[in-house]
Amino acid sequence: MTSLLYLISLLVSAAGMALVDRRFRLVLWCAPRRAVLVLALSAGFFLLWDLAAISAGHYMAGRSEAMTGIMLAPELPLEELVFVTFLSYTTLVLRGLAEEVLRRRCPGRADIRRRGSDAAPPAAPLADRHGRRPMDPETGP
Amino acid sequence: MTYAALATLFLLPPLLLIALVAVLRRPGRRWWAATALTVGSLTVLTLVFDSLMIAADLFRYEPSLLSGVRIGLVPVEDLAWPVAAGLLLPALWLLATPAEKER
Repeated sequence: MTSLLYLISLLVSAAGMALVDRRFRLVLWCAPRRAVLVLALSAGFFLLWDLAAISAGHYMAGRSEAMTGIMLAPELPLEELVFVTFLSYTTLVLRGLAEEVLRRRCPGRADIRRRGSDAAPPAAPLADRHGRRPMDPETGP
Repeated sequence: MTYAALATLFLLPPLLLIALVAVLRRPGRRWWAATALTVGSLTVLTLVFDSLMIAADLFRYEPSLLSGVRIGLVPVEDLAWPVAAGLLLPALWLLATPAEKER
């Protein structure tokens, strides 16, 4: 018996990542061409890792009934191609979120640098999204 | 070749790219913090989901080539995956970003 269970789980998880990506415009919704290039390079790297590990006898496909049974190469299920792409996408989304969270922290910390013309406008107004009232009445709602 | 040796080999390209980023782009402290957070959260996710995937028999390892140290069901060598991903992808993303758009 085989099934689509694992494949569908991966695709549903990827769809969840895509919702986060779209909401915060992090990866595909930030720079689609760059995202596709980076995801392809990364998925290729992890597939190479898989193939090297398979040929050296480290990895073997399991006998789970949750997989389609479609093999791209000996011991390499179709699902692994989807997995390495999903892993790469998840990594970029998590990284985008991490950057976003760090950027929205209360300004004035030493690690928020003002770099010449690159100086970003103060992030203070965003603070009220976290339930804090701005101190300055002019920036209030 | 042990799985540890193979994993070390595949950690080299991500480490090289990170070194390249450090030299060519000199990212700020926030970039490094976000990258570290990414590696950390991916490692936690790997411990959870790799265990589930091994329990589901999606893949197997040759036991004679493993160190035998496991966290949950995860062979400790497998943690090279989240480390590699957490370094490789931020590095590739930054290197593929035009310098003036960097943030």
